[in-house]
Amino acid sequence: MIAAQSRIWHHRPQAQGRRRTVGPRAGCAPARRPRAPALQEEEHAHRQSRRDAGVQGFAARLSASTGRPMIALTEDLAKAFLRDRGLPVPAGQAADGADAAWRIATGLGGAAVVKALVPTGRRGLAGAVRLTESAVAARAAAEALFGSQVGEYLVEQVYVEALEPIAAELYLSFVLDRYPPRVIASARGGVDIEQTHLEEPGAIHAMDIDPGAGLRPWEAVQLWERCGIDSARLPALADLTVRLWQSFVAADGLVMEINPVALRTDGQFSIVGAMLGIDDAALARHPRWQSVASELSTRGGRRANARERSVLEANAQVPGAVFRYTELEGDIGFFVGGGGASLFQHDLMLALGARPANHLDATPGAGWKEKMAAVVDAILARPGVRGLLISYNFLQLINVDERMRLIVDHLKARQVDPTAFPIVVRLFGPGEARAREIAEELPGLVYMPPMSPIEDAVARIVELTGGPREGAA
Amino acid sequence: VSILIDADTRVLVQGITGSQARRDVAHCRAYGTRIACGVTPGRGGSEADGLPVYNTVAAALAEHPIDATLVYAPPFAVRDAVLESLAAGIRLAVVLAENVPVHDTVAIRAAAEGAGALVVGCNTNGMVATCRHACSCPARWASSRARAGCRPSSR
Repeated sequence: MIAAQSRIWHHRPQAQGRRRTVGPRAGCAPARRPRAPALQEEEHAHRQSRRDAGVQGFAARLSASTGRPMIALTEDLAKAFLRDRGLPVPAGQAADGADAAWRIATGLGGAAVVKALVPTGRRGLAGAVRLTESAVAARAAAEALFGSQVGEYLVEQVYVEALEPIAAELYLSFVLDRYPPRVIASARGGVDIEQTHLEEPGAIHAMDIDPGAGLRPWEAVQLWERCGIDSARLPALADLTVRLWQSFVAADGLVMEINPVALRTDGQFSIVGAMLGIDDAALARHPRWQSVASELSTRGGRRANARERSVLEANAQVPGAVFRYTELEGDIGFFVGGGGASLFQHDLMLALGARPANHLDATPGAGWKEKMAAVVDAILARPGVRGLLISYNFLQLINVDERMRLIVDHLKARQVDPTAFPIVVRLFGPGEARAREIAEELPGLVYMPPMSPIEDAVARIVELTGGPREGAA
Repeated sequence: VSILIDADTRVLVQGITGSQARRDVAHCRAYGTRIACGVTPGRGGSEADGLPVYNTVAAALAEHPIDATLVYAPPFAVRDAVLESLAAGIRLAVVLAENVPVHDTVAIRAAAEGAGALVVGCNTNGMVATCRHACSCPARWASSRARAGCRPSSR
């Protein structure tokens, strides 16, 4: 029950998020999930998701509810990717100044759409999408948008796009928040999709995709037919849908939302709204997005802050170890290891009336020293953090003294005084005796006695940082 | 839960020439696991820990009967390594790598379901069978422990 109070619990349902691949028992017929006509799970995730989530839209929030780190690409990046794959995307370009917006609009023939270029949804409702009739009006619209705030983001760029003659707006998204992935579609797209979902969920149709075969054309026809699309439109729309699915896979997407898929007055379909969130574990095979990755990274639907981004940048510099540093509302720095041991310590701390300042998920590998340093620096830089817990379960194939050497050297370099900023260490395993000697170089550092339980280390850091807090847990 | 491995399970190691694999293979063998051979594309014809190394799983299977594969491929190579072992007919794979892209794990699961195979992982310490002969004589027990996977705390 303690776990239910944990704040990260809502963002990281580890039971489904962590266990990624399990096949059927050998010899049994492959288990198949029943196709889900109802949107019960979506409904649930939708309600669970944070109201203030700064993510892209309806489908993105489903994905955010899994808490998996995701890189939310801005519209220009998503559209450039789709355009490069031959999909029908309106002409458009990013502009970082009003003059540039004017130039692009002129090139498009004058009339244009000017949108705030921020990776968040509901821009239309936020007034961040302006339809303009001339290049001069486009410049004025851009001027008005620059420097404004949309969701969590300051507008530093706008996207200037050709104005499409739209006859109807459809909604289409692909979501990989569980197995198997799903496609979600509706004939009622546009800015009202969220309202439609709440008021008339029957107008939104979802379908599981068999990942072995991929989305096949006849399945896409079936889906859009259920949405009530005219027969004559189905072949072209199904073809577009299949190509978008292929792009979603090629991008290592966790969520892709096309809202709207516009049916133009000339009968052609056009990708007018495009949002794409990609798997950060796959980033290294997408060089085109590496330079923007840390800036666009999200955590459980919230934009990564500067300290979180600095850890991401450290990860990116040396492939190997991955440190996932996510800030929470507490005041005790958490340098913990082992997925289960980390969550367990988190819950123990809540039970003791204190809160971790962050969660950490660390994997061993190359660049451990630099990434550890980035995490420790982030914790030290965070205002209000009162102490640091460095605690793993038991190290087995890694020497504790090697780790301790790096940690102590870094803390010394940062002139950390454990008598003023309590540090509790519980690192057990090979080389522990030597590690204890190294720890003595930092007077005041508390190294838990050999074989002491994990509960004691958590209790100790809570006690040293002021005991139970009001309003915690 | 059924017992998936025992003292007679013959194990192939994909990526056997890597440093983590070499260390873990030594642990496994010391524990009694029957590691038969390894596969590392580009290292076929060489040896690792005294075991023959092949370029492909199919080539290894032509020389050795194999019941399970231990996959030490790095994250981006995991998908192809598992698909190769499934294509060759192996029905039990243990995958250690962490940070395998989600779409790759989706492809692995779909292929495993299609083949009626079991994939343990990704991001696992492996598996251990300790109790099969717990009631028989200690000498026999000691000689028949089996282990696939590597680390002492594995389930």
